[in-house]
Amino acid sequence: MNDVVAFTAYLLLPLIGIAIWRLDAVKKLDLGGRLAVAGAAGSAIVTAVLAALSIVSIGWSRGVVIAIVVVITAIGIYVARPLMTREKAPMNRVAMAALIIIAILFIYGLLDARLSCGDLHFFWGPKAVHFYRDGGITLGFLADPNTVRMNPGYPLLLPLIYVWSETIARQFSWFAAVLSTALFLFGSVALVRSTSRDDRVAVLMAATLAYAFAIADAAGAGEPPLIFFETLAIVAITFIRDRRAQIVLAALGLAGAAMTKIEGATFAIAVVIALIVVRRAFKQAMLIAAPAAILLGA
Amino acid sequence: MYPSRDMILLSRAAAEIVPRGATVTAIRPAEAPDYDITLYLTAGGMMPRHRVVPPALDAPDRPQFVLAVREPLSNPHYRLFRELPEGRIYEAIP
Repeated sequence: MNDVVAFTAYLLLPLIGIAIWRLDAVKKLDLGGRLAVAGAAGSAIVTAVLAALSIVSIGWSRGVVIAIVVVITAIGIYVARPLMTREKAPMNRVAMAALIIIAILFIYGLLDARLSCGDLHFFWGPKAVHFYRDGGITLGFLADPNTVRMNPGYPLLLPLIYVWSETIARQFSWFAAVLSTALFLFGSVALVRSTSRDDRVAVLMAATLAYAFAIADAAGAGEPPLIFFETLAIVAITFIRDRRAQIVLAALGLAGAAMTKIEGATFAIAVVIALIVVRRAFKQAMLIAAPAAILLGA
Repeated sequence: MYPSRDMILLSRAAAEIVPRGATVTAIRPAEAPDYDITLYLTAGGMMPRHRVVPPALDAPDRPQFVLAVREPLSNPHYRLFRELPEGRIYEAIP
């Protein structure tokens, strides 16, 4: 039961970030794409809320965290109205069948734990467990010489998303953490399909990522959310035509990537260089990279 | 099977047996003295109510308890505290 509740917390992330549906470019995406974009926003919001509470020394009591998140969600639902759109993108049946087969195989691999990443047990999970128990991001824990092998200087988005799940379930669920990998994988696929409108590309991406995560034993680690946020940044720059939405979504993707893994910062730098060299879009590149740079600096 | 799999099971069981707040480490004795650090990191996530520390069994401030998977531990500073299907728990000799 705890595993189910903990996993439900991850499913709630798109609802928490639903305010981003206010962007017209997001409204034009199909439901899968909109859910994925809102999931990215929800992840960023939850991370920001938990980090902000720690910065102002307010403990993560269940009531406080849920109350803040509920208020943000309610405001998001209000500003995102109307929630229903007519945008539909029927999927090719062969592509649909291929995606279902990939999903079944991948989720089977997750459920029997054979795809679990050691890093989940070595530091992503333990960090979340200890932060939750301490009621915040405690410098005492991060500065403890005994935790030096747990990468105390690493970005905190993933452990904080795990803390969110733990807050809802009152206990850390290792299985829910492993299963969240499927959400990040198929979120990435939904982003690509929704923006490119190409079913074959979606199948190729699902097969490639599922195979890569399987042979790398990446479930529960930082790579799945990192790729999810990087995918958001790439599709925003490549497929979204509306300039404002492009900047907002790409900035969200870069900030999320930079707050997930150190490699995300490298990716952000590569995107900035590419935008400047290829598009000569210096101002746009700065706007897109600003949130990631501020977060890294902080 | 990786020894970390055994450690997940042993540390979960040990979390209910070892007194809360005690210093604990986790090892596979055959790897002495270069113990695999991932075993104590794994135990750290499973035992949040304990203080899980690196395996410095011969240091003056050695851990109060040692979780050992696979082989038994042979160390003059420790004695067997509990034997479980998943492994053994040793306590420091005062």
